[in-house]
Amino acid sequence: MPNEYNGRLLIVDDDRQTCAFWKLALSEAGFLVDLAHNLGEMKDFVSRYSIDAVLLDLNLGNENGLDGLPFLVSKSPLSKVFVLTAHATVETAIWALQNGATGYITKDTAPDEIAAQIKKHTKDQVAEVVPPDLMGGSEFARVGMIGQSKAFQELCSRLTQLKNVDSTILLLGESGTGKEVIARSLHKISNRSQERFEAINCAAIPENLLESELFGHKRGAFTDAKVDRKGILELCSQGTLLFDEIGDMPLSLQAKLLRVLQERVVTPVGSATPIKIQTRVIAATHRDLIEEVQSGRFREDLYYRLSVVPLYIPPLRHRKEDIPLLVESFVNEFNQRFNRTIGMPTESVMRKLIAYDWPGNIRELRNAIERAVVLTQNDHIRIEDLFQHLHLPNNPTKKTSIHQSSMPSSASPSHSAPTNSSAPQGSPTEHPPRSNGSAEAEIDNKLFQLPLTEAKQAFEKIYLESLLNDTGGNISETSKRAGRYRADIYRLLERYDLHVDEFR
Amino acid sequence: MHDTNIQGYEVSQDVIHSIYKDQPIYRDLLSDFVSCLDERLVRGQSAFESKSWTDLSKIMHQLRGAAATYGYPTLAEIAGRIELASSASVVEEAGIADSMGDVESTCRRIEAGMRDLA
Repeated sequence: MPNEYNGRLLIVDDDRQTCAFWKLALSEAGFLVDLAHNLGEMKDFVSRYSIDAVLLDLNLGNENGLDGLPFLVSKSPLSKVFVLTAHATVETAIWALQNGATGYITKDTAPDEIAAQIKKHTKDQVAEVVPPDLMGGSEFARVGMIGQSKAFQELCSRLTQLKNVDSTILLLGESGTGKEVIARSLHKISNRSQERFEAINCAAIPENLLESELFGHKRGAFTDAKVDRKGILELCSQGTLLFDEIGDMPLSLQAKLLRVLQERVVTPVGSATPIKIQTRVIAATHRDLIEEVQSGRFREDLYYRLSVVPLYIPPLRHRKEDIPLLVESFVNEFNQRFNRTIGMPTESVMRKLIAYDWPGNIRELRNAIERAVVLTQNDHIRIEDLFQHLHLPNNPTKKTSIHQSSMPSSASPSHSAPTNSSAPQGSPTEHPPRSNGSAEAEIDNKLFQLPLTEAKQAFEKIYLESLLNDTGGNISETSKRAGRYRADIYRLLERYDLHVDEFR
Repeated sequence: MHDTNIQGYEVSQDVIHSIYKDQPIYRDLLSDFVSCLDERLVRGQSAFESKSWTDLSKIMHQLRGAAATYGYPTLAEIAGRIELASSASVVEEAGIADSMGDVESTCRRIEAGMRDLA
């Protein structure tokens, strides 16, 4: 690859020879190129990396490439999508552009022309720099952070302090709180904003690929290493790299990452020559890293190296004042995308939106608004569309016998959808009744229908409530019975929004 | 002897060269592409003989895209013609048979062009 790095590309085409040609041609033009041969592979790549541009073939054997467009627009909104076709028709081009594609490219276009076209559009993204004189909320609004609550203002204030500091930052917070948006925003307001921002999802990349992705490899280092390839740490040496889901990084790589962070050099796989880097590292996780350290799944030394500056991203239920602003922003976004003119929710709908606890945080709210904008037949948002996901026949939140207060995350009936009845449920100032009966009796098979992470969280909350009930809210006794430090118990109380006074 | 094909690239009637033939970085890939042409032809011929028009259309679509990518517009044009004909509501078999012959002869000229460069 030449010295110039122009971004990460994903080519989606079912013809392997066509892919091989574009990979070589566009690598020569300074792009890091990945290949997918069907929509499933495309989705895998999008979940792993921050991709600047996607070349999406229209005809993928038994699949229609255009069917992948809504996924890309929704899951990777910053990627520029170019529809790749043997022969463009006006209808196809119009459809693609109306549905979020940036443009289309015919396969007989010369590689340098394609490279120029992609660079032109991806450059806009890098150049989207915030003027340094904009202060406070407006500076963050320009980079996509929306809010006015106290928790949000405190977060912005910390980010302003940290923007030009090269220390490693650890973003902590529940899934869906917008950790990647915050990392990207921090990059955009920093003095590295003209350089690359890259993100990798440590949980989504197979262990055998992760090392090569991070550090690069030399030709011949392993069977598929046909050419030298720079690692992502080297490619954004002047920029910022987000390690998303760092808590899921394999132990074997944690030691290597620690060395990189300490020595600021990377050694590509199959090479003996270290390369100096200046990459700013941001790590993010929804896991409790201290707990991961205690259980031996995360290196303690890496934890301390990463958590130089820990930053806690509040869940949406702790910044409910921001919900109206977020709703307005999402309605505008989806109106534009789907060419609709849906109005803002009525006051009663908004009250219910605010009352709900949003265990899936901003991501869940955004999805709910998207669904409501798409499904409504009128020009207003309907409550049943917003909360449709909680009324699916197989949704464990609907029929579960687990006590309402006991289900955290998306499974929590304490977070159940407000109905069309007049009074909104679960107002932010109300605390649900605490569990009195035995926890065992409340757990039924519904728990086993939840994804593992949610099931573990659900059990953890039930377990904690049960102990707190038994001990009358005595933290020392609770920590003794649980075999955990008091600090761990306090952390769990915070995580599950439990108030110890209510057990006394 | 030379003629001008649909894209205006000059080709010999005997051999066809890729428009990328003078760019050394593509040499190995061009060689791979040309050596696989026979396999694509066999699959196309098999679909044609069994009158599997959907399969033929897909095979020709892939060939059309790959040929355009690798700098062989003449082959892309003929493959595109077969793709279109085999996906029509009324398939004209005789016309497709003629075009299949054109694809094969074009592939032979491309192979000759590759040997020419070796």
